[in-house]
This record gives sequence, structure tokens and C-alpha cells, in this order.
Amino acid sequence: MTKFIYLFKGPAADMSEEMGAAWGAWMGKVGSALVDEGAPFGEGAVVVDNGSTATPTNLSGYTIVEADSLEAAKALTQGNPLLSGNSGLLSIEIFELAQM
Amino acid sequence: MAFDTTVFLPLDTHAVFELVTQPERLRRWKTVAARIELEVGGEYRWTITPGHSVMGNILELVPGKKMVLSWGWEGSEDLPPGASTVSITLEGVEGGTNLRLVHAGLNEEQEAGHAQGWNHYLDRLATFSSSGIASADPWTFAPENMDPVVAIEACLVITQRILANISISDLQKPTPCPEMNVEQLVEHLFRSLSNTARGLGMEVAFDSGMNPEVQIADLAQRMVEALGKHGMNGEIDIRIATLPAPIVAALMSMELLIHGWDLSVAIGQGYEVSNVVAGYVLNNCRMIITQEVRDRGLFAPEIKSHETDSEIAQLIAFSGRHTAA
Repeated sequence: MTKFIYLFKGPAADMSEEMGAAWGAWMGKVGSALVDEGAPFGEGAVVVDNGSTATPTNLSGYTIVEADSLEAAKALTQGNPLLSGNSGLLSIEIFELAQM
Repeated sequence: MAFDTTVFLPLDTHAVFELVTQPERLRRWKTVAARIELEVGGEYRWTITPGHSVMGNILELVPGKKMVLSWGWEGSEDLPPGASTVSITLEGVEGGTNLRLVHAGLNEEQEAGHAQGWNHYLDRLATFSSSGIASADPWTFAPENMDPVVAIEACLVITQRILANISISDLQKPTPCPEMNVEQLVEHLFRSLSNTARGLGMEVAFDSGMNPEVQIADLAQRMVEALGKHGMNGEIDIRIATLPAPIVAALMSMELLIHGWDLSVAIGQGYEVSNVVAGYVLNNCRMIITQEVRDRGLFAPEIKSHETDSEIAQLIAFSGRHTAA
């Protein structure tokens, strides 16, 4: 099994009972594949090698799961409340946490 | 057998007719929720106490004067819808209206039960008619038959009483919900209820011109009735997720009871909830708001409460709110 990180992209949703229930249901579905429920991101900053300024990417948090493949990790996002709309503004970026 | 009684009300016949036909008026003395199609043959459904709804049709209608209804309890074998008849006749007299109520088609036992019911509600009607004060109905306070839908109806009673007391000058007041004033919180509650209503196949439109109580009550009536019909099997798409029906039901009672408290604090009104109702909702909340969800920062941390606190105080603490300012 390989670990994958989900980076949640787009504006963070407000905390609400509905959102709590929806995330709770998704976490329940992911079950034991959920390695680290992660955390929401607070304030961010960017440091660039040439000293120029930049704005941090619009990320709202992370979660780590375990799956057999990148495809399987993609499939586990099904039912995540972040993907419930049809706005094109919210997405989950997935990266394997490679073992060296 | 028939129960036959007449009460005097110090209001004109028009006002009394509204009190017995308009959902917003019926909620002041008789029902938790009501819908009525005001025409001969039209269907009505009145939720009298949580878990107990009367259904039937309008058999006769003379605006301002008379209404005859077929009367029976939803889901009852003893007195099913259509099994009995209620006639309400209004007669204008000096200083007010005589309301005569005849409930026919009951056996002796049914008549005794309904006599007790009508006396209770007509007393409430008389009190409201003379004082304008709609007191809480003790019969709705602590239902014995709690289930997911009964819980929503019980919470609705409590929240509607707060909503009914919101005035225009309250709308901009802050609430215990971060970054939400009274107006925004009512809209939030409306959105939550409408997500479930839409998931149950309804069309919903927000009308900011209506008063908050009517807005929420009308939507909630339709949503709860549909949820009861849907039952607790299967899943419901509430827009941000597709969740098992019992979770959605629990979410609805939780939203109503917690935001009802938020609004009561905002407008400085007392909030009385029986341990039966608050305890039931609290148990459901524990199912919905898991520790994992809190750890992920998706819900406010729980405030410490004591086992000796009332169930409603424990529920409010569980929701991450401080009960004492």
C-alpha cells in the first residue's frame, strides 16, 4: 500500500452542521484507508529563490490516505463534499508520497 | 356520538375564520405544522403534536362562516383519515364570535379522547383570542414516541416559537454563530432545510419578503411530511453529499434546535427544551459530528459540560458554543 496526499484546492467552506455530517460520512466511507485526517490550512506565505514576491496557491487543507494505486486514490475521493458542486473552482490534487 | 361545544371569542368572524384556516394562525394555538388547500374538496394535514397528524378534506366551506372537514389520524387504524367529521360554524355576536364545533362519527372512547383534546385546544384558542399571547403547548414539550421524524417536529415547535418573536429590528443583531446575524442565520437555516427538501424532490424558492417564522415553517412542513413518506431507508442527496436518511433526519433536528438556541440568544428570549427532546438530538449529534471531523478542523471543538447540566446545555456545549456569556 502506498500513501497519497490530498491537497484541497479552492476557497474553504464555512463550518456547518451539514458540512460536518458530509465530511463525517465521507471519512466513514474511506474507512481504514484514511491514514491522517489532516488539517485545514491557515495563513500561508511563499518564499521565492530570487527574492521576488508571490501569493500562495489557494489550498484549504490536506488529508492523507492509503491506496494501491493513484487510480485507487482518485476513486477514494468519491463523495467528498468538496467535489459536490459543479463550479470548476474546487478540486483535489493528489500526489503519491513516494518512498525513497 | 358527537362532541358538541360552543366557545365565545372576542374577535370578529373574519379573524376567527383565519385562526381556524390559516397555517400561521393555527400554529399559535393548535398545530405544530399545517397545510391546507382552502377550497371544497381540498386536502389538509395538521400536525397536532409531534408524531400525530390529522388528515382529510374540506367537505364544506363558507368563508367567514363555516368549514366542515373530514377528520382522521394519519397511520391510525382506529380513526383513519375520513372516519369522522368536524364542523366549525361561526356566528357573529355582540363583542365577538361564537364558535360552535361539532365532531361527529366517533365511538364513545374516541369521543372522550377528542373531547379532552378539543377542550384543551379551544381553551388555548380562547386565551390567544383575548390576550394575543400564544403560550407553549405543554402537549408538544416531551413526546413519548421519539423517532427521527418526531424529533424534527418537536424541534420545530421550539424553533418556530423563537422565529415568531423575531421583529424587523432584530434582523441585524449578532448571533452566537460566527459572522452571522439574525437575518443571515435564518437564511442559513432555510438553505439547510431546502437542501433536504430538494433531495426529497421538492421545488423551493426563498422569499425574503415573508416573515422568518412563516418562511421556515412552510418549508419545514413540506420537508418533514416528505421525509416521513420517504422513510428511514435509503439515501437522500442533500447537495453537498448523499447521506443515509436517518443521518439527514438527525441533521435537520440538530440544525433546528441549535440554531433555534442561537436565535433565542440573539433576541434575548428564554429557551426551554425538554430533556427527552434535547437528549435525543444530542445522541444523534454524536453520530454526525465525529471526533475525526473535529480533529480535521471541520467543526468547532466541544466545550466542556457536566453530566448534571440539562440536556439542552450539553447539546449547546457539544456544538462548540458557550452557554454562559
